[in-house]
Amino acid sequence: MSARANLALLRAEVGKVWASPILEITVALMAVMTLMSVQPITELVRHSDFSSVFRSAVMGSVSATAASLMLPWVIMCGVLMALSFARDYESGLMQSVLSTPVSRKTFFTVKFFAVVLPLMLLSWLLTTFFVGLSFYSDLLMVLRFSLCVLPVSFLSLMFCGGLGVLVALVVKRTIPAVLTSLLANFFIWYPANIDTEWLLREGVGYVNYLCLTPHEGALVFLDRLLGIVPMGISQIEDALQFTLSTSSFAVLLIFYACVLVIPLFVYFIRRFEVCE
Amino acid sequence: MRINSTVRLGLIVLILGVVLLFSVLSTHVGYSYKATIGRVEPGDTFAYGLFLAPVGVGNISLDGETVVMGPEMDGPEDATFVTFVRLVVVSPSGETLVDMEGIVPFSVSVDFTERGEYVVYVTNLGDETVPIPVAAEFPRDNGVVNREADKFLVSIILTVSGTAILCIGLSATLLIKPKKAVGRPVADAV
Repeated sequence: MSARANLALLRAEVGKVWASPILEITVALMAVMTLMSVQPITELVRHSDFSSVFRSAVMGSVSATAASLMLPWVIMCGVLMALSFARDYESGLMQSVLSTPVSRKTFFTVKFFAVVLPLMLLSWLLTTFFVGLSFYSDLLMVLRFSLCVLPVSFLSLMFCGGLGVLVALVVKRTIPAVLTSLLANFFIWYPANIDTEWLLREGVGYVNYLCLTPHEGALVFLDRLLGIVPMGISQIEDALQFTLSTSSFAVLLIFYACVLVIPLFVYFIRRFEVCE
Repeated sequence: MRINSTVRLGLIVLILGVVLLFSVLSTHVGYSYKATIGRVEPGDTFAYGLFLAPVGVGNISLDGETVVMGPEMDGPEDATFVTFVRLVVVSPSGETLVDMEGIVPFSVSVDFTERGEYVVYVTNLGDETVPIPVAAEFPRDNGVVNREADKFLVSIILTVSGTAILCIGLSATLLIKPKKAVGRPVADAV
């Protein structure tokens, strides 16, 4: 198939997945989650330090906004991916489409990215919008920092999407697949909600390894990309989340992004039975 | 009823506006922010940067109260300094909002109408080297609620325009007849 035909297929799939009211629900969920955690920002500092404090405030705001958006993007990605694959399987649409010249590779790729790409763009747009509302005096800085959300959300969404596809291909029924994917993604997200720095100070041992989980790792990676330096960590500076380098977190996230998607892609194009 | 892209756009803008409106209406700026950046020599000027949203009337206060290190075993203790100072407050757009002299402690009312850095210059006109802490205070006792005016305006604009777009979209869906399919009637084709 030509690139134009693939793009047309992607467009049709995006239209199907994000049909009313899915997009509206996603935007509402993301907006509510973001604004619940955003308070008016006021700083009183030495005038000569103002530019660095302002920069830190923008970075902190981008980090906090992305952290708030993580739950909606994780939940929606898992649900929509499971819905997309399981519904097409159950209704027989997958069989019908694959009996046309559309290859399995194209079909999988289109279905996967029809969920991941819009969610990634939504996360970035909403982060830019809400951070920009507070710091519109320097929109370029807001834009520069909010761009860091793109790779982090993409890698995180690849993992969530992979989990959603795995559930859909195993369960094969729409509603059970959606519920299972929602719960699985929620439980994997949950460690990202834990205040690791406080627990590390309390001496809770397992917390040291939470930064190696997909979503907590993504948030730590985002902070590293933004250049956020945590304050007052002298007691816990040997913890993994401070000792591992930025590139280590990047490799970890790429690993998580590929660990489910690549085997599932290979399985789908070679072994998956489209009808039983 | 078919939901067209205008209805969807209106709904999304309306959702953003309403969520932002509720957020702005349920939050306000904190009661007090205070900072001390060291001791000011006689004749010297210290400059504070106050990043603030357009939250309306508040007070810039110089109360002279700060924390100093006491004798060795006592640790930090509260202290109050009295001195003669000059206070200048410059808005983010460069306009001088306050330029006055007075004896600490005193407070001056400022209308914060812009978002950005308000520069507060404090000059020690006394004879002693003293710390001059500056505070921005937003008391609630006079019924003023210091909300972010710019976000409120954005939320109103989004809500109103979202409602308008939604209504236009719904009207178009309900009133305009759908186009007939182009082509020959089935009977002719047969």
